[in-house]
Amino acid sequence: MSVTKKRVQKKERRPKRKVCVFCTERITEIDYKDVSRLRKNISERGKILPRRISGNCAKHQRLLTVAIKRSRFIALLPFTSE
Amino acid sequence: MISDYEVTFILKPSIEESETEASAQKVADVVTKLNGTVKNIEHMGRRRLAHEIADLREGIYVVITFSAAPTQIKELERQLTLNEDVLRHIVVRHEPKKHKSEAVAV
Repeated sequence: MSVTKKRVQKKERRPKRKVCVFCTERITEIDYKDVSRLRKNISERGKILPRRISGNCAKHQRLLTVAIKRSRFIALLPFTSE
Repeated sequence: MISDYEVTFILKPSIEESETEASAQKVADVVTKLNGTVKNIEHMGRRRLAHEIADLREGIYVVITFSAAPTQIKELERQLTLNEDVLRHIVVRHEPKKHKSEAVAV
């Protein structure tokens, strides 16, 4: 406890480490029709959130981008939105 | 060789509620004609499109899961583009992972 405290004081504030939501839920496939789930991973403008924001692992981020792109093609998600 | 697929397509909003079944069946018939087996037809219903397709803002979504030979998919896609009721379609392979063996065990 004291070690972490010291570190925080020394270096700049480190944001809490996020864990991949897909890993915690043990999801192996991401469905492009699952709009509510995909929506959580796009910005207001419709952009795909980067891993550094969402905290997803590389494996799931890859699956996610494919799912979002399919979803856009079939007009379930926007390509852009103001 | 036979694989599992899933095709999602959007029907024109001008189609009446009573005719959607028939339109979806027409696509299912194409699958059957290509020696595929239709497993499920799911109607997602009328939805607002996230962006315009052919100047339309609405569409009727249908998902068909089926199994067929991979060589037949091209022909299915061709038939879908020829079908005037279909605004857009996407065919995706349903890869059965460890998932499936679990399902079989149960």
